[in-house]
Amino acid sequence: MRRARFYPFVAGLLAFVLLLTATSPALACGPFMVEAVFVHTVHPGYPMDRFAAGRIGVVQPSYARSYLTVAYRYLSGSSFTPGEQKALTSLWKDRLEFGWSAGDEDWVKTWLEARRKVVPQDPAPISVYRSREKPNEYESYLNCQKDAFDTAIATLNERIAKYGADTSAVRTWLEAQDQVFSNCGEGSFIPAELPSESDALLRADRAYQIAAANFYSTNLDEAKKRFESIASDSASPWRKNSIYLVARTLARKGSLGPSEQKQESLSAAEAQLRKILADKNLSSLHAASTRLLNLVRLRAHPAERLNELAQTLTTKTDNPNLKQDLWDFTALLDTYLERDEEETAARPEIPKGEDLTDWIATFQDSSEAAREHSISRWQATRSNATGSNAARSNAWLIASLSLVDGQHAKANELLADALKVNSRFAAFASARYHAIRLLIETGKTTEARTLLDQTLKTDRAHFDESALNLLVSQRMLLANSLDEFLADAARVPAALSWNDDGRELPIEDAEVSDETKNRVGKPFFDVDAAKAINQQLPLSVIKEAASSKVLPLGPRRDLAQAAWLRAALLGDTKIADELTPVLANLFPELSTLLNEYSSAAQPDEKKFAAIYAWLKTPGLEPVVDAGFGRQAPLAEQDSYRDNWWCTSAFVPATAEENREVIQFTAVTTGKPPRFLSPAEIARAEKEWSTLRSLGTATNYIVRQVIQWANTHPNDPRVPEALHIAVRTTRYGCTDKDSARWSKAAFDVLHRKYPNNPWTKKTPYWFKD
Amino acid sequence: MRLALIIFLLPALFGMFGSRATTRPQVILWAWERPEDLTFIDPQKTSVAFLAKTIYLRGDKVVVKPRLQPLKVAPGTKLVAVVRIETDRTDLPTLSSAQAKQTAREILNSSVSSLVQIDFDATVSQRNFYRELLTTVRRQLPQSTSVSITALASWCARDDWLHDLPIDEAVPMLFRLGVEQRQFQRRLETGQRFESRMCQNAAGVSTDEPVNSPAVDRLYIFSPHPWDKKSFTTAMETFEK
Repeated sequence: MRRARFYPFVAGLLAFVLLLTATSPALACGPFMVEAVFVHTVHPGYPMDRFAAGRIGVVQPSYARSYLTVAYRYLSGSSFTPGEQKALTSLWKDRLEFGWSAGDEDWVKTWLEARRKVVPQDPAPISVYRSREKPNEYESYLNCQKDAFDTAIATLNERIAKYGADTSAVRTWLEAQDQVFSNCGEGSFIPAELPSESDALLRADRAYQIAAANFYSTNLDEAKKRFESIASDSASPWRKNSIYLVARTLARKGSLGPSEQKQESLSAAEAQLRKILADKNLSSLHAASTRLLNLVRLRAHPAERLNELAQTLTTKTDNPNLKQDLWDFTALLDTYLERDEEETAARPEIPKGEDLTDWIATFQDSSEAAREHSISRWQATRSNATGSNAARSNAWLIASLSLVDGQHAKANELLADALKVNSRFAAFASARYHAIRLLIETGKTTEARTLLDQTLKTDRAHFDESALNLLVSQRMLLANSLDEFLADAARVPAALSWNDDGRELPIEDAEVSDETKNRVGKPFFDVDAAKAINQQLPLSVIKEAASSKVLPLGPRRDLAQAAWLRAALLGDTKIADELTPVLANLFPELSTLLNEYSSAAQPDEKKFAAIYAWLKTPGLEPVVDAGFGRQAPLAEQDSYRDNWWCTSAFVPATAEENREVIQFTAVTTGKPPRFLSPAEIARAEKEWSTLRSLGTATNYIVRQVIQWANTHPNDPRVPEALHIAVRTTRYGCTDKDSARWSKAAFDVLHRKYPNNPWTKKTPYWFKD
Repeated sequence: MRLALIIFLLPALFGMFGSRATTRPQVILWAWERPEDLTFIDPQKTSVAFLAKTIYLRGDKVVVKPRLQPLKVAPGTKLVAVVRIETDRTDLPTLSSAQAKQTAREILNSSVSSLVQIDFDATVSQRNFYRELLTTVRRQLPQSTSVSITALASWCARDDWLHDLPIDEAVPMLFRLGVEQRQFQRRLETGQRFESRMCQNAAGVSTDEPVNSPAVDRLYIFSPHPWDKKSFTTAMETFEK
């Protein structure tokens, strides 16, 4: 499966390089199979505008912090305007789909187009990124930004209008400008001063170009001196720009300069920007200065800025800078929260002065300290929750609910508060989900069922696809009968995703086969259902399930094949016989093989008939798949080696079971379904243990075939069975013993049936 | 013939390449796009493969983003430039020859040592492009520079389309394997080597998914958090077992 190798950084990477530019989280993948995402865990389900509008579903602590920020605001009873909601979805799109690239190729392209009005030939390629000097030469930064090209284009057009395109004045200006931009990528190319008798405007332009060239070539002290000089020249058309560029030069020095001078440079930049903002005559510079000041302060005073942003994001309405503010806030927050223990000890504590920051940090922390802190915050805010502020405490209520289990001393109080959350509040879905969970965990299963049924009946609209799957998972846990269990075992995924990088992005139509498209909207088993069926249901119950019409067709087919093969492997010929017509009905293509099975009289004959059918049907496996599962048709070989019971043969501790951050997915308590009797539970355990003891499926199959070949050498199926048995060790799941079995089958085939056509088709055995 | 020669010469080409390991493999830490201070490592024992740039293939464009995060290493550290290739999902790449050539140019000018690594999870339909790209890179790189690629474990275990690629090593990524984790874990536990010979000398592991360290010459280690002394020591203990 494709998985993120580098996903943890998507949320946490956008750090301090902000003064220079944004950063580029990189992702990577595994093989290419579509996954069924039943419950989103890193972001809400698509379309995101639902979440932006306040339909926040069951909020997951594992969501990226931008979603948690938005959730907090809604949980606190506030909201976002339609304009702000657009800004939010734009931010999420940029982050999830990497749409936030600088767009530098377009800046350069536009400049080159403008430039061709004067000179048809393009200059040497312009790279807007520049590597830093040693010892930081492996790090680059965005040196020439969009405004540089915009200004150059505007100036070029003005000079063409004034002097004409085909004049030495404009050509000279352009040559100097080419020099300026040649510094973007590397080197130091400074235009020469113009003679004093030159046109005053052109001299002013040149002075500005020289300052800019120094800026881009990282001669920052010289650049500052020159910008200051221009700023004090009231005759220069570049005076105002230069006032701003003094600050920008200082800011850049604060990023790229010697570390011992960084703070000083940032403070000087801050002072200069404040001066600009205080001067009404410089109002044209105010917007850019405000943006730069925010960035400088982010760097110079991160804790203070974090608090400011938290306050803005919590209280400001109709915020035109919401996207940038949320971007900066989460990038800053990540620098505090995305650190390991050692670094955390060396860094200042995350400022929790603002409730939003505190809430996110606590909500994502599964420690006991965080749990108790959350509860104390819930209790404190709860007492204020009166009248029109009734929603005020919901953020901490949801955090506390998420962090406690049914055994916690405050579980009942929290449960009581959760049940009071009205469906008109954004907290409703989360509160209801956790209320049901706590009822289950405290053994109040009847109450849990009643509440769950009522919720599914009357409040369904408050739950998105992910949240509904969570409720259905809970309901499966509470099933009183097999039919109830089956009714909730198969679910429609919230999304189909390549999920190659952990981003849980829904597939695009153009990317997938028609076969995959046909699976959209169809139900599959989630992990909880698959685990229960595979490990906790006895064969007798699985048989009933395979015959039940409660399951939709797809999952029923999967379950029927698992039941039949399981019965055959466990030697329960009675159940296998009963299931044979069921399987034949669901898989008519297997009829011939199944008839052979039915015709066999003795148990050992039946067993080999089953092994033979299995050999010829590589998709058969004694377990059901979680999610999409095997995608090749049952009788066809899977090119990803998922043949003859492969990947489901083992019971590992999956990465999902060892996650650090809490997330709410399908409920797997480890307990068997409630409707099973103790005897059935014991039988299921024994059967599962027997199945596991068969070991690697390919070795088992080969062993069975060789045994049969030895005792029934004249069975006409044997040569073919041996041929396929050898192939299983190439195209099925193997282990260190498989080569030995491969050779053994090969040897029997070649020794006993030297002239058989199947022997000729078996020129090799497989070592690994 | 040339490929065979390169493989034969490989151990001598880069200081980190030793003889086939029966004891401790050469360790190379992946330094991804985030601030990394690796000045604590012993450059004689450990090397660093750092993400030097990411190339986005969009439509007919090749958009390049260089590394924007600090990387500090001790003097004398052997470095490998890693180039990551991403394809745009909405503006699907044309995967033309021109695009392959431009991408190759970007890879060529990233090289900082006698080994360059390419990280591209090519889909089946992108494999011809990748092959063309690697062929161009191989042709234009000095013979003394080796080409390494990261590889999906499935490429190495089956579906072996790597065998005739003009590369010097493929590094199977033994983490984030999803449902296939069990199978590959079992493979590692039983000491099975990958079928593809390209994948037999190196492996990529992650500190948060301890696995039996495969018997390889070069072990690339990824950390989901910035490296520090503690995570480095833990990783070495884990993968040296």
